[in-house]
Amino acid sequence: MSLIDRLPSWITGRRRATASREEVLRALPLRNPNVQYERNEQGEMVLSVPLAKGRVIKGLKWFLPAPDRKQIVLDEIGADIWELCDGTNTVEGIRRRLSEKYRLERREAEASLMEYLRMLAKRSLVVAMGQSPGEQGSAVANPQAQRTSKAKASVSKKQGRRR
Amino acid sequence: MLNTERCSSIIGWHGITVSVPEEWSFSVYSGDAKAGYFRVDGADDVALEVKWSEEKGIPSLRRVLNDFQKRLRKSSRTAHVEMEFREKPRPLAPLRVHGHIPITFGWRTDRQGYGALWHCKECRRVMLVQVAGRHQQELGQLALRILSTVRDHPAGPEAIWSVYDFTFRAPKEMTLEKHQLKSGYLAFELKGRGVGLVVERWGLANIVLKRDTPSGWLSGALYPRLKAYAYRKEEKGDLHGHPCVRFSGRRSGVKALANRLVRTVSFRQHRDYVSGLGWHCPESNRLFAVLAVGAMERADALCAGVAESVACH
Repeated sequence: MSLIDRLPSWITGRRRATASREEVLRALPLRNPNVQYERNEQGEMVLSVPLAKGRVIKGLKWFLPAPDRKQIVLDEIGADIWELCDGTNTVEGIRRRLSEKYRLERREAEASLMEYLRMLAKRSLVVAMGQSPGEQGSAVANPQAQRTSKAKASVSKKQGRRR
Repeated sequence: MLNTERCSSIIGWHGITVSVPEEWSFSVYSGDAKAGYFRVDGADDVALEVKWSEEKGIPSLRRVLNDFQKRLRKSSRTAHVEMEFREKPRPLAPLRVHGHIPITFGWRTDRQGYGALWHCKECRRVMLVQVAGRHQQELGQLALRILSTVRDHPAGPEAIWSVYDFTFRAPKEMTLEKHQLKSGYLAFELKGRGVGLVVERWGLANIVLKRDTPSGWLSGALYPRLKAYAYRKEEKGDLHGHPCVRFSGRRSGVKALANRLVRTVSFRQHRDYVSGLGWHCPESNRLFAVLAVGAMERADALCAGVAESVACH
């Protein structure tokens, strides 16, 4: 990476490289392995997310009791998406499963799924691993691929078409 | 492959209809019935683009085509790619619109496109339609198949509105006032002379009906639209094989009463009657509602006609 590439886009005037729609649909979302989860009786998914603690919080913990994890509850559809984010299903595959199960039109399902994955990625709950056209799931074993979590948000933003 | 794709999904927007392959989706739109644009995206980066504008008198199609060519040339210059533009491309030679031969064109940059341009004397619309995509041999044939299905105005008294698998027919003189195209919720508000129409569709019915009946849920969902009316609800009859809920009533309040009095004295029809129908379609996992406001008989007939035309499953 050259020095100029390291400069922020507002100085260079260059746009950050974003993935195309096809690339995003081929991506393999994988849930954060540090997050514990289980379905409740209502069919919702309860996620238990470890809280990141800085030095200040760690210091304060000596005086104040602070929880180690926080809980996030995903609704039934969210729970289905969460279960499918196992690193083997592509975004397109998940979209197809949702379309079949909930009888959603292709575009409807795609827009909702992209937005939902963007939201999960923003909270570091899932990462999206890239997959080359010929490749089938090989990125799952690639730990380098997990670094793409932040890229997911910008990728999804590009997909926000007018509807 | 492109050749095996069936032209089976209909897109209907502001009186324009076109058949596209099943997997294609309405994606971008702007404008209104007088001038506007929409794009339908397909797989493999192929898209159909339709642009229309109402012109008085006889427009110069040559000027429109030159403007289009200029814009194309400018964008290709910006992208530093060579552009090749030609009229009457071979794949579009058999294309006919209203029995006439339109101006056809093809262009090639890092992408390619085939399109047609014509003016309809009946609806006075200048139509510019093109299918663009990556370089592929079948694009010309696909463009011909799609372009030959484009209709710039409704053939009968009703216009087809159809996006995202939601299709219904409404009187062609009614214009779109408001709309919402959200994931899981589509709403069209149309307006004609002395009559208003609202057609809505909700998705994910199995989720929203977990704690409610279709009738109860529809009452809640339609309440914001019905609260100005003294309405009654009846659960009787079938629609498309599903039990339906009927709403009917007149506008309530002092202002509505005064308005009714003025109309009675001046021997004019009351246009404050609401007629509505709602139903749940388990096959498509969706809920539908149609509301018509206007004179009593007209609102009832419009509501029933539009509800009957909704393709729910």
